[in-house]
Amino acid sequence: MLTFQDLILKLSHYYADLGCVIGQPYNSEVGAGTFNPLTFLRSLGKKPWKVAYVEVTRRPKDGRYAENPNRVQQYHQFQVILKPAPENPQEIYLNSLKYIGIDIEKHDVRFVEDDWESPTLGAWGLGWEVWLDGLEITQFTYFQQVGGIDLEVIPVELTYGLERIAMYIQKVDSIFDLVWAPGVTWGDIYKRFEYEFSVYNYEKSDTMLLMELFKKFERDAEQLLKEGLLYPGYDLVIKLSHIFNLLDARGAISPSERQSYILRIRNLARLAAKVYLEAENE
Amino acid sequence: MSEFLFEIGVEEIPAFDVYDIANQLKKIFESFLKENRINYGELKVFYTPRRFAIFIKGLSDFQETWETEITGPPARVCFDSEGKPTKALLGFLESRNLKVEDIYVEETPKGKYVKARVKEGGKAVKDLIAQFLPDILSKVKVRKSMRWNGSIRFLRPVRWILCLYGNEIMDVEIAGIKASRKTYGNRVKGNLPLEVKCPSDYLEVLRENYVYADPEERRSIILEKIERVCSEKGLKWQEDLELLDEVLNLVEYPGVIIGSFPERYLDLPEPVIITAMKQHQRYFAVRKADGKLANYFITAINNTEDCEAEIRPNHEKVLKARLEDAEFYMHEDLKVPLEDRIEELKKVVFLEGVGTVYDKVLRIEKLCEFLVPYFDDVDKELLFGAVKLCKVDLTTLMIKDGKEFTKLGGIIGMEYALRQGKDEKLSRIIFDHILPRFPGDELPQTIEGAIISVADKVDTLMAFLKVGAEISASQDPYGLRRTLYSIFELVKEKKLRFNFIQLLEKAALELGVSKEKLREFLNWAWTRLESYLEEKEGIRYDIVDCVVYANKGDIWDVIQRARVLNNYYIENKKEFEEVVIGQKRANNILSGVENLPPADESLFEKDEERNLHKVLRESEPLVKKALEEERYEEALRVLRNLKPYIDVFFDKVFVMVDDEKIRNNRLALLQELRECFRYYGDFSKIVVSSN
Repeated sequence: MLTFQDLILKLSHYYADLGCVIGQPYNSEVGAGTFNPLTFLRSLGKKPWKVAYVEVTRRPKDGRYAENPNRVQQYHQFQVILKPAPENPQEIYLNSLKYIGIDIEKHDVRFVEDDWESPTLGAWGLGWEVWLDGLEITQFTYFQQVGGIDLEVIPVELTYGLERIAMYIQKVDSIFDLVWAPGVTWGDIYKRFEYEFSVYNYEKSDTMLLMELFKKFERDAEQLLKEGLLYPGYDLVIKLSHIFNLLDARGAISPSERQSYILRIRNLARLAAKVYLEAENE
Repeated sequence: MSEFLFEIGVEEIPAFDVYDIANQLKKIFESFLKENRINYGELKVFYTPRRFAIFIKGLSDFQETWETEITGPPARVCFDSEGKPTKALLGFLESRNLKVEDIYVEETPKGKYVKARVKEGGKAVKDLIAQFLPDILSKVKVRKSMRWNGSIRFLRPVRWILCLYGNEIMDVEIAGIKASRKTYGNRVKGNLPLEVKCPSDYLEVLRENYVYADPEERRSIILEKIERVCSEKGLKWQEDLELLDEVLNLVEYPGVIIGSFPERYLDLPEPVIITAMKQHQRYFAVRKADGKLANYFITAINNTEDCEAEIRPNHEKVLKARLEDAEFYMHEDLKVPLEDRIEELKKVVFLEGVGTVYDKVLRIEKLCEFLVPYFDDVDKELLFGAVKLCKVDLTTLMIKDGKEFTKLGGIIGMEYALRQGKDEKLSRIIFDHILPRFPGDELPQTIEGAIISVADKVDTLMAFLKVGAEISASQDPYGLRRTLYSIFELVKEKKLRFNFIQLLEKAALELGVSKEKLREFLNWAWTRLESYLEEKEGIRYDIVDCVVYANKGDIWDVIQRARVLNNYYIENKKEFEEVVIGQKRANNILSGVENLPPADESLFEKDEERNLHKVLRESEPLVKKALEEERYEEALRVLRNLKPYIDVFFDKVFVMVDDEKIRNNRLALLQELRECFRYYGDFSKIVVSSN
């Protein structure tokens, strides 16, 4: 049986063989692999860049106290950036499915329109969600804009939903039953984690503290970015996005405030993109 | 004569856009052929999500030839004093490859010019196509375009170009790709590069490789297979042609399978099950012989059915997870009685700047209070009970968190009300209040639901007006035109008679919409009513304009008047126009004249005046009464009977005589005539061809 870790190893292998740098997850909470500077910053500018990495992805609002077999507040994406987009990205992608043991000749594979957008990152692109027998397993996007900037060289982003693909391959109905490594399940590692973070996200997080942190980090981020300290500044932008998600999970943000929070983060993300490009163009 | 084949290979185009792009390509080719006078037998367009192809049969190898007259330099500069050709003329001759014998001089408004008749056309079609093709993509309008490499833009990346003239590859380059005879088969069946020897082989080569490029062939195969899988199980397909159009363009191979889901999910409301199948998964619903929803679904797959054993269980699993979500939401939701959700509406924002849904419900209540007295047989208690509950389903998990189920407002309210043992009619009113969602949609069954629906929709329109939405925007991003049309439809089909203007004024007052904005809105609303009636019933816009004059408040009445008048126009165009011309004439003579005292019989000099006056006196009450009693034809008939009196009056009586008394008395008579017609409408607003 292909374990969860086998899946990660195989995909890493596949993309390493294609000349990708095998990166690592970002060490602060992100809502998607796109936030990782390996994607967000390196999509900008003209320099070619090929990278693949697992991203540990946090979505506080998706927590279900470890009771729902399909929904968790932290899961794993396998993120790939190919810049510039090659001439055959769909073939590269489909071959990766074959490489992990999915015989696509016997399945119903479709590329169904799904245009991707991240309002907080000021990023959008056109592409698809990939269906495998009706199940959405990958987001496939040609980035057009990142940090509000039209891209000079178009990257293609592949985001594999690792848990979904593993559940499909292992034929299990619950995420918690996934075999991570021989004798160890996904649930062994994360069940308590899921439960406790659901409690934290929905009940225990300190709203006042988070709001205070948001203000302070926002101020700091702007200051740092203006001084040209890109990575510490962008790191705070990532933190702001997570704080926003935590506040949202507590229902502490009214719909009218929502838009303004997103805008505040986006402005900083744009600033970070600008600072990155300035250095690159020098 | 030759055959021609052109194929653009793309990465999957959104199903929604495939047909549109194919159709544009077809038109672009057709107009190219027409403009260049190129004859051909037949032009066909083929398409799948991954390719667009143009196939032309019986294509002439040369365009037609024709003669045109061309103009050269002015004659005075063409010949020197001895009458010999000048340099200017020789240059012209050379550039057009003409001899002196070919030209002639002709007088034009600008003076004498040298002219010649030349033969044009006759060029090789292959060359013309080679010039035309390279920027063909820029001629296609797409909804949303992207870049993938350099500056080329299209809806999705272009990956190959096949172009054959006869059996020869055409030497063209599109989007940076050189044309070849290569195409590709179905992705999942090897995605093999395939050589197309000649254009007529195209469909067959693809078919052998699991691609059915002719959309009509895909459609009929899918339909046939749906019929087959249904009849094997004794089931009936729930026809959904809109979904079929989409599904058709999601696959290259028309595979069809039928799957099932556990029967217990049939306890979910039918719209929930159908939404779970259709919205995201694009599955067709299936019914049992007795018409009840079956625990089966049909899906088109982009693969052959011999893989069904692998594919079906996965589709079933995906659907089951969605139904499981819905079941969880419903289970949780039903723990809370609908009444207990009323307070929660205070937390649901309806529209930024105009408060919560709770506030909206209070406003709907007030508008219903205004509307109810207009109608008999309204169960007020039930109506106001339903108003309180009509929006509470917005607080349910199903609608808040349910992704594809979020658009089931009203339906969920009704289903939950029934499941919580509420009165059946009350439950129905909750659903009715959203109907119709668009013109042509299902209509409310209850009068109570229809009244709430009008109140809710009017409030929505005024709320958007309040926050400054562009009502007249051609895009209609908030669906305001659709909302207004839905009100017209309700009024028309359910015969809702009430004062529309007063209702709007009341709604505007509740929301603090300025009088200025409301006036603008009303102007827009009348032009919308004109287009609505033109679209739906083919009524002339100026006829609507005419009758709106007489009654602005009661839209149902306006519609009836317009219908009857339009029929008159259709049945007897000549007489209709003469009546209108009579009114225009009266109106012209009366221009600037208002509020004259009634005509004085003693001042009449001619029989034609007296007769017209007499018949007007008799007719006026008849017209009024007929209109009040909804006998619109009768009202119009009385007006039509006036025609001979009017005609002879205009024939024999001169109004603008010098004697002021007589003149004013005649004007007064005309004013009475105009007023009598104006009970029905202002006929002078109608446009006549001879006017």
